[in-house]
Amino acid sequence: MMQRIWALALLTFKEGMRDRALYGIFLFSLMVMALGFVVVGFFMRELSKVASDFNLSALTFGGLLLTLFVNNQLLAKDIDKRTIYIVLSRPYGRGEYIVSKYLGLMLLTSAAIFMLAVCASAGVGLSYLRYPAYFESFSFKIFLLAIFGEFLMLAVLNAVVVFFASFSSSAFLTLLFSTAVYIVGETIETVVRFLKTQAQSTEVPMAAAVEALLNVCRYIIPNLSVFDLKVQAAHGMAVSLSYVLFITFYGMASVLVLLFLASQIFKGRELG
Amino acid sequence: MKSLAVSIVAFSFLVLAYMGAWQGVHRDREKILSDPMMDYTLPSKVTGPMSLRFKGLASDFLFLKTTTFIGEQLIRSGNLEDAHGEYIFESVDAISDLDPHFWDPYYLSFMILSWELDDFERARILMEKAMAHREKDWRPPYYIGFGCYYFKGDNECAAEYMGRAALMADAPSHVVLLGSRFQITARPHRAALLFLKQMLLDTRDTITRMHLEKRILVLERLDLLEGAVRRFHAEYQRLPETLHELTEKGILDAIPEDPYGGEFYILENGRVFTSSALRDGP
Repeated sequence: MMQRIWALALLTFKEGMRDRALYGIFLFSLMVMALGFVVVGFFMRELSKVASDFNLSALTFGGLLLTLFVNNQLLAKDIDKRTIYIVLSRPYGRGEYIVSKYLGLMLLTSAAIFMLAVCASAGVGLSYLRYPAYFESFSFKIFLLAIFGEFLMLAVLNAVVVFFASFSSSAFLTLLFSTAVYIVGETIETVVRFLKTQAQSTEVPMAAAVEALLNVCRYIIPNLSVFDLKVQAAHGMAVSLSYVLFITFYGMASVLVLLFLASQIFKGRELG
Repeated sequence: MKSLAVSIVAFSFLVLAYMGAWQGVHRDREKILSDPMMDYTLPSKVTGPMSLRFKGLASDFLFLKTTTFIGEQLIRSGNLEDAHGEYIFESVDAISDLDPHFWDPYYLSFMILSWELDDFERARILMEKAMAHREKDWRPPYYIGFGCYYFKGDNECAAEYMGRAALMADAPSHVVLLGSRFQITARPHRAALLFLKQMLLDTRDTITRMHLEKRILVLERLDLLEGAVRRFHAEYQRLPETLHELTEKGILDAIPEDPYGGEFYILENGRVFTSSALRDGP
């Protein structure tokens, strides 16, 4: 079974590598990183923060574009071009298909993140060579940890894309749903904190329905902001080992739950 | 051949139309940009969720926008008004909500609000915020301490904050010295000089450096004049009636000029100040 899963994952990865959009995303991220190198010089003191912000943001943006557009299209293509029938006519279970596809997408994402991480490190390195006196607080270890955080976020988002692709009829709908989950996942923490502070300061209790809705969103939608370690990387602030382990575990658990649900839904789906 | 010629003519016409439109738009845009209207900063309650995963980048962009705006105002009129102070305060408040550890905005707001706009109270609010988020940084309490001393004349507050700054692991040795000097010195210009020289070390921005260097020059001249007044007092057992008496008695060769265009004058207690209040004239 593992061999079958690996073979299909590799096939998905190769198919993704052939997509020209990938090169476009890569070029775009490189341009943002180059822009960062120029913009760093406009700041007063915390140049390492600005260099780190620009390069990590370019990496994240590239990863998001890849996941929401390229990976989403890769999944839809199988059904649109009816290649899924070739796969499913072989001894592949539908659950295996979902897991293989996800692993293929993650191989592609890992390769892209690796390349972007090399470029981002080079971007920060260049700024360091130009302004070494302003990099005292910078820690490359935390910078790499922030890249790991972004990778975890993309792993969860890829699982979200696979989940929606398992039942939606078009790539556009998958994109729409996944983007909505991404936005809610990024903002839910801020919104909950804001509303709780408001409720405390105004002494007007939050409506029960609003509180219930927020709680549902908090537990159902993955909190993607927990994987964001860019501020820590920008200021060289230490991150505890327990936090890194917890977000890794949280990311993995979210992926497994989403893939399980996607497999179950996909098993019952009528194709054709 | 004919179709190629038509295509070339059509393309040339389109390019010309584009260039005309570009010129028109940018000429009118210049008018809008040169209008001394106040820029608007979206509150962090909006910018925070809107910037999703890119809060650090959003804070960089907002800060760049704020410094550009201030730089343009300073180049255009040489002075900032209270409305600019409001804008700077709100901008830095929003930027520091996006990234509370970002030092540059705190630094800029302190410099502009306290030195340019004589609004230490608001500068202090932002520095207190910096202190809350940069717990191991000696600079926020150091800046508040200095502000208490120089802008408020509150030595007790200055000593308290300088004491806190001196306790930080990476605080330079002069912070401890400065803290104790606040308790005993009667030479605030000298203390301000030390402070501004530290600020100069802390910045690379050309406009900021230009302003700091000018201010340091005036403070050096004020300190020189106060030193001369003290020598005069030691020699003649009285204070000079005007600063020109210092040159008449040969204590100074000449009274230096105030680069801000003001005139140096002596108070009854021997302190020397300038009529420019360290600001460019209207």
